[in-house]
Amino acid sequence: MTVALTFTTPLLLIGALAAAVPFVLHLLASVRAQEVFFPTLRFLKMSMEKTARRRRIQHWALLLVRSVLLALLALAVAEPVSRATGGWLTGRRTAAAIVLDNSYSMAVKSQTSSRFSKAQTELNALLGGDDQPALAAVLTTNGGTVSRKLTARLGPLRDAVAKVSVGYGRAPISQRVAAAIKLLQNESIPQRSVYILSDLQRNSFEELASLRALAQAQDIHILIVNTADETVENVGISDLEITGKRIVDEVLQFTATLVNSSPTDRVVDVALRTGAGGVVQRLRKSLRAAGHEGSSATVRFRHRFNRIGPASGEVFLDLNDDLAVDNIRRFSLNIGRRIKALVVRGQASTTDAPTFDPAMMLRVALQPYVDASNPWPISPQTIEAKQLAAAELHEMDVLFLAEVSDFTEKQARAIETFVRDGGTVVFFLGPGLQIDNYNNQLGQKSDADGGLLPGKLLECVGEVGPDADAVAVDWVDIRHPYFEGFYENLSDYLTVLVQRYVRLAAPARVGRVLVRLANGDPLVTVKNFGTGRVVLCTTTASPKWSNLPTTGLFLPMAVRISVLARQELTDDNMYLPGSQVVIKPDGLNEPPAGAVVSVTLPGADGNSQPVPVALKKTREGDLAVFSDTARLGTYSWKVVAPGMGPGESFGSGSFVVNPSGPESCLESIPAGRFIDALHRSGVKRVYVGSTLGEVRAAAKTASQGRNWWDLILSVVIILLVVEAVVANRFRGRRGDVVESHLNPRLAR
Amino acid sequence: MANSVYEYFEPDRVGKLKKLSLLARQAVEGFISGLHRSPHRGFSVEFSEHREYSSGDDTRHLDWVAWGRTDRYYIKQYEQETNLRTYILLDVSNSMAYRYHGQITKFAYGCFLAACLSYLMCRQQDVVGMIAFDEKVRFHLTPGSTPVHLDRIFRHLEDVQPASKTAIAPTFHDLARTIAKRGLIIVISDLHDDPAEIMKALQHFVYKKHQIIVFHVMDSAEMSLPFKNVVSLVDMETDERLQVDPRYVQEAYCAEMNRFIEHYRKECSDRNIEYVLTPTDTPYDMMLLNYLARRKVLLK
Repeated sequence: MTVALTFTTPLLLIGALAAAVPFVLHLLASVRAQEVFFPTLRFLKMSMEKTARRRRIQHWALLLVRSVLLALLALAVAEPVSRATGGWLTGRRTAAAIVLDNSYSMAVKSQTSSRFSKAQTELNALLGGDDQPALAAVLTTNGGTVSRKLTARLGPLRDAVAKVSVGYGRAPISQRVAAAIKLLQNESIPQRSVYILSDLQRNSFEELASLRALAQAQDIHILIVNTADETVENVGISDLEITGKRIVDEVLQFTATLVNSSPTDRVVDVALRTGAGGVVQRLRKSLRAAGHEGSSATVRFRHRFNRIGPASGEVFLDLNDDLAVDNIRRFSLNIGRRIKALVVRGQASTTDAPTFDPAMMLRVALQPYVDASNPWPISPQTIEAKQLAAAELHEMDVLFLAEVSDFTEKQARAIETFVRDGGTVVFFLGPGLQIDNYNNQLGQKSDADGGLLPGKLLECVGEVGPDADAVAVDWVDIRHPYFEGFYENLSDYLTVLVQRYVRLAAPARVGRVLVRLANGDPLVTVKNFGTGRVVLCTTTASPKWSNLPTTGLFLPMAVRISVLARQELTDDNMYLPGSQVVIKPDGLNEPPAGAVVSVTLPGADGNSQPVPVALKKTREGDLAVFSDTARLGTYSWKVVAPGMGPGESFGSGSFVVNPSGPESCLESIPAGRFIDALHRSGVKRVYVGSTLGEVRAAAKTASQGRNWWDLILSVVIILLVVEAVVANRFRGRRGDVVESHLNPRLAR
Repeated sequence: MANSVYEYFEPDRVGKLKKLSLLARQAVEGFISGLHRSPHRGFSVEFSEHREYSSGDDTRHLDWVAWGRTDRYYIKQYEQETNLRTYILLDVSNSMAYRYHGQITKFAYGCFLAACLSYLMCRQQDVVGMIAFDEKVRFHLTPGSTPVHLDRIFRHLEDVQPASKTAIAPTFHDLARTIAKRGLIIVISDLHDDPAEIMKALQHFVYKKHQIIVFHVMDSAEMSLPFKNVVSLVDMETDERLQVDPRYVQEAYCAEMNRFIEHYRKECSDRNIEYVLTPTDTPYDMMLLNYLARRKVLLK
């Protein structure tokens, strides 16, 4: 881009003739000098001869400076303007690629209209005004595509814009701007502009500032109409996280993240509502003003679902603010049945006290409530070792083998199959253990996984008795899900003392030690096998060899191992708008011909037809992919086949679509900062304003260039002052007062 | 000028110099001792008047010729002759009429100085002559010491006015030839002439065995060029005009003027001539007092 210098009022350049004034004044000044008697000029002549050269130079330099100053003054008055060539144009020779931000932050209402409606109005003015472009394309950020290429037919474009509504996903401003630039780069029209109508949300525009495509589009104007108001009153839920197994009677934790975008501190009521139970919990939370620490906070709800099957609900804010859509966040869960745990009692002596019965200890751990009506996610069952072969292991989730001395081949293979199919088996070793049987049946005979055992059993070590030594547990892997979060300090985990245990050869690479004794031998080791897990505890589940069952580690460990045995119960069924939802009906082995998944959209009334989605056969079974997730809310689906009644289906479920979380943080990036960031990235032709007219005016002004008169005038004034100070540094405040007797005119 | 009938004689200020007269006398004697080796001899040979003899008079001074003619005894009285003849050479050229913001011109300052010196000389019975000159001698009063002579000097000083150019050197050469008896030559001038020629002229006096004191009368303005703005300076003697921006020449001018003064100071010193720079803003009596006091110290 080159820059040309022009003048607003070139006629005033005639004032440059004033540059001659110093020379004229110099000549006049030589005539007007006051005559003064002096005794002799002899010495003056001698002095002047010696200083003639210096005086001449100073005189001319001073005259030159004064002339230049006057010429500059004339220049300033004529208002010099540096104008960029190839600058801003409007009208027929322009192409505009318009990025319309329709993310849900644009739904913020101020007074009568929303940011989005303001953007639509400005866009209509752009496409229908006097300066309408010759070619235009409109790209929306959140669905509702208007055009994919530049078109000269602006009327249909305007109609399409009127139909665009706010979307609720993330606003991919950068992608759209890059696409807009690409559209324009393929055009040869001289003036090309990208218009962005947006509220300059920080999360989108910080990314835009570093967009490489912008820096490469030096000849394209970027005009941004900022539709955001200065302040907004809003508190939103930006995220909802659900932790815990989706098991009936298991405690689930709902963590909602709240963001205050208001300029003042706010206190909000947050509630958890479930579809079946209504509002079940309500909390009050204080949030600091936007921009301060504490403007974002989390609230936690704990809730147990006591019914198997789909469960839905929402966390919502009980308030009325500028943006309603982020005041609610829905969830949809699939609550599974209780964990089925099978405890196999090994060789228990009939003379032993009940507390020395490992099966009893495990049962107490897995079902601590005597009253079965208490909500508890685990349903334990106890059998004897000899009954193991007949047991229906495939119905179980977790198998506890409590001090079983040995296994038959059949039993071993049944256990292996159980684990390979996703079950979890837990071995507690104890008296009567036949090490060779274990190693033979559960060890090396297996396939590449190396057998069920994490390592080879070596021998029993340690003595049992009141005076026998015990080895303490000195390390627990507290980051493993089996032990995570029981206690705050590691020392609270280290309460186990072991007198006798079975030494285990170094676990194979697939095994992982979770609890280790002070002498380095593993106490609890876990190994993945097939799709299931094997947990090996090298001591007893009863207090025969160790105090493990009586410590605070035993019960939570047994429960945690059981709960985590159901690996599939983690889905949230929560999606963002625009996401593809994979619907996989459970238990649909052979769907009848013509069976489809019928999806009912949220907010549908009685007249709305469900959307049928075809089932596809895949390795993972029959599933359907649903993409029309623009709406927020709960989507319900069911598998139906031709000829079925209204209430009949081969399976049903639901999922929810929530708005994009970051959009809840209604923090606009300051226009000045954004422009600076773009300038630093090499993007120079970027203009931001709150209206289309303002942005265009800024572009026009920038194109017209800068009027330098004020700067030049300032420089002239400063130089005049400096010149006056320098040139008069020897002068007194008053001129020479020459008395009459020294004045030749008066003296004579 | 309080209590004075003379324009250039101020009894009040001269009165403050009573002690100065002694100092001056001593100083003068100091000069004399260098010039004349003979001490005072009492009566000189130059007859002045008669008076009748009275008892106690020295009979050596009886005029026997008068006695022969009149038969009466008369004592011969002689004019007491000093051993110092002083010539005050006062510059009355136009340049001496300059004053800037000071109260008196260089000329007036010179007149005051000449009058004061004349008075002091006469008061200590020395004879003093006065010569005013510019490009020529304006008046020449032969040395005398009587009150009548002093009155004549004062009146002449009042009558003379600066009116012409300076021609110091030729005038001095003429005077050196004219003044036969050696004595003390006091020059009061701004010395605005060719310094080399002036020094030659002064050397002429030295050659004639005169003792010379030069009072170099200067206005402080002509030593510092105090103007702020561009001025057209008019030479007071030649009417020549020169436009000057003092900002550019002041420094060089002052340097030149210092060189000028130092030149006289050195040349006079080399020729055993007393050189006294005499700015007009220093009261002449103070200047004289300081000078003679300093002189006294030097002579000890």
